[in-house]
Amino acid sequence: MVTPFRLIWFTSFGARHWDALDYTHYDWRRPEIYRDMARLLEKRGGFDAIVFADGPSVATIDGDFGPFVKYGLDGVYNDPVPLLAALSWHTERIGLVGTLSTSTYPPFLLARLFATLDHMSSGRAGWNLVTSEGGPNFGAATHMSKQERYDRADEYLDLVERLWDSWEPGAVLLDRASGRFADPSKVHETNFEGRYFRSRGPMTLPRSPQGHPVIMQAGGSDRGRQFAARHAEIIISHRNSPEAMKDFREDLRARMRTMGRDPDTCKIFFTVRPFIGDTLAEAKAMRTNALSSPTINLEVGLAALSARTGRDYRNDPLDEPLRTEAVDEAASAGILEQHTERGETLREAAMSEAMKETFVVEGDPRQVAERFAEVMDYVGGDGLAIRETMMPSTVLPITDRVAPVLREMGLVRDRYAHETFRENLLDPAFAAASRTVAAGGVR
Amino acid sequence: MSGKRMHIAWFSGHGVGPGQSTWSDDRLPASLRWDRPDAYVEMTRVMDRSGVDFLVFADTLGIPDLYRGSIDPYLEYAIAMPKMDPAILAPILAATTSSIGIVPTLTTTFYPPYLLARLLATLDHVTGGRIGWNIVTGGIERGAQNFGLAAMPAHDSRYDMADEYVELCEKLWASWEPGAVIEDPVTGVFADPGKVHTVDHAGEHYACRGPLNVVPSPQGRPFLVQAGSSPRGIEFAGRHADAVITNKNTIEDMRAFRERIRASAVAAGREPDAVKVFFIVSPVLAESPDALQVEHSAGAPARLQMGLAQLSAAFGTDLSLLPLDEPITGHGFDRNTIMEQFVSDGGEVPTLRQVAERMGSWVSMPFEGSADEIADRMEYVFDEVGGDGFAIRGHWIPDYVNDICTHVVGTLVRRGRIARPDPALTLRRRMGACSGVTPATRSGNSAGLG
Repeated sequence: MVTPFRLIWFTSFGARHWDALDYTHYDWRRPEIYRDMARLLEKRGGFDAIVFADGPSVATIDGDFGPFVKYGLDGVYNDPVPLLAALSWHTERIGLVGTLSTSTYPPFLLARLFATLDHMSSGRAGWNLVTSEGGPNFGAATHMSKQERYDRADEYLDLVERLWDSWEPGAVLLDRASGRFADPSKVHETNFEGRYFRSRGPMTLPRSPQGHPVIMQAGGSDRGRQFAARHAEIIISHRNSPEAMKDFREDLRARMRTMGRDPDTCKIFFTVRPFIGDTLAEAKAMRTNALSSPTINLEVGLAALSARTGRDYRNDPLDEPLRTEAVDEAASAGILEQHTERGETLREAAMSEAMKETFVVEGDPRQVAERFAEVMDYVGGDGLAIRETMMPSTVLPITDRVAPVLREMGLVRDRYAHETFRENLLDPAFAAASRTVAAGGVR
Repeated sequence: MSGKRMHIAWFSGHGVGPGQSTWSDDRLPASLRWDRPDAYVEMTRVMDRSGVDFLVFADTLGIPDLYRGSIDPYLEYAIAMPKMDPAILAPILAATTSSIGIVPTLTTTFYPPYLLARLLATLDHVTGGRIGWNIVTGGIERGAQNFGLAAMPAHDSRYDMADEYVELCEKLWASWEPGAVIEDPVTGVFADPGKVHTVDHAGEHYACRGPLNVVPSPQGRPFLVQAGSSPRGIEFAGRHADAVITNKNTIEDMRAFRERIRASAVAAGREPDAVKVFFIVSPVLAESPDALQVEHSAGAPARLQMGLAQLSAAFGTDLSLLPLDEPITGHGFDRNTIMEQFVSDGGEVPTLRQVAERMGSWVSMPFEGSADEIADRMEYVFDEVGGDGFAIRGHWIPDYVNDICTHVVGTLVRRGRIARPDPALTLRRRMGACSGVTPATRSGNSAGLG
């Protein structure tokens, strides 16, 4: 096993797991728990980034938000942006990625927000670009097609990149002797006139340390994959098996080559949900325990599945294979695929949704580390995304028990060689093993 | 101790950015980079300890181009720019302080209301109830063009939109009733859906279903600050604001303005004390030499250009078209607050050159002297006007902030005129507690303003 890989943590600034014991002395609404966990992931885990998923609205089924509010589920989220800013002060090297939608943020606002965050964090801002609509909370009465959302996103990204580039490197003079702050000849108007957006520019602040935030994307559909292959520097995907991961990665890398892009400029991460015990039996018991929590139930699962697919599953037969007709294509790409691939019944699919389960890895710390390594070796890279609430009982087993084993194997990051998120992410010699290999050593 | 408690705010006119007078000031150590949080953190910590109630960051979402129709003079000398996003700095400042309120400026014309309501509710959680919102409705044309608008909506119609905007935000902040969140781990019930409501707002300018997806925050709604002094602005402040910041030169003007704000609150069905009025002052400590005399290392020609660019932005017109050495009269600027200052100072109408050359070091209400003298003067003005406090607008450099907070604010704290900071209070409660207004009167009451 010689394929080194990166780790990121994929979570949300939300209510999920509000009933965990960790929250008897932490408050999920406040920054402290994320601050403490982010420091662990950086200092002891060597993680490349923390990614906060987000949605601006409480999920609904046919306009009913009852089940989501009742259990504190999908959509009960604080805005991740203020949290990212707070975490930038408490950490030094880890990447900080927020999910923001091209359908809800005016482009100039988003461009300035990320430029500011990138300055304040000394070059550690990342943008998980989603195209999801704001819907009735943003005054929209109708839906856009998936095609249109991505067409808009293409134009949106083109515009914000021009805004980020509106100050050339070196435009800032800060010359106290002459009183000159900037060289106006190196600052350019954007004068963007697109189909969907217009903006005059330039940006109200100089170019940030990374220039652009690291762009992350999770496109699952064909159109989404095209978009990700063109623009993303991190792609995150939920797949059920190493085979499906490998297929996905090879498909994306082939698309990049076709576009003339070096596929190594993009790192592809697969989500995993680890259960780590002192023994395999204990890890399995942990999963069973999690399933018996009063917040993980069929009502929750049916609500989550219905909201994510845009089809009301609440009156379907529970113990028959999942039905796929009458699903809102725009809302559900890739989601049903995960369940039908495994031939799940509605009950099984619903419980998996209730758990927000993804590729499960269970065992003692060494077994989990070895399974991570084995999967990554088979897939070919580039990293794993731990999909889990960020709290001591989930973070510490990874940072203090699994990561040391992986470090000992030379497979994960043992230092941050650079200051910015992008430089660390794209550094080919980020792990001890890769440095040895690069140096021609034998393992 | 005698008399009513005085409130103190700090107004950072540059917003999150250095401005000409900061980055070029020799008292700002070159190692303290303006584009990193450290200097802001350091200064805010000093304010936090001393008893400053809240810190306001101004903002503009475009680079002005009024002077010579070009952004170049503004870029060249850092006039009214650069501007970073104050909502990003706010949580960093909250993480490093314990009691001061943080008040970013956010513009109603540019933020979708749901996005702004959610951002502020989150900031209220993240700051532990210390967030405020300086409500701005407009800005320069360049800002509008950055957002793809042909031009800013007209002044009064912006306020009509802002009335509806703030009402919608208040509905969203109240969309979860107090007590809606149960968090009972035994039953697994997080919240009572019966106590969470859509807002179903369908107004003239905005539509929104709700509810907010953020649970109720410590203050319920943020502390609302406003700075408009036009008749329409005063009407708006009477309806919505918890504090108004203004620039007045005389005790008579201050008193009259405060009475108008209070009358406007009463007309909107609120207590007159529900809106606190803050007057901008720029104290100059005699112990700190030339604290406000900006020593531009740039020569006189550059200083004149800077002044003209600054004034053009303030007046909204290109002053390169006017003669430099004639009195500025008959152009309609006479009613501008800045001109009032210069005219009332000398009696005679100054020339454009005179005003422009003084712009770099211009301050309103310069209270000069020793700390005791300045404190005496502030107490005197405060007692004559009847309330409610001062907003300090001075140099945004650690040396100046430390001098004023230690000596001037410290003296007023020692005299019992300014309350000692109490980390247990939310900003709303801190501001209400000092005037006897029941802090909870308006929380959770989304529509009860009329």
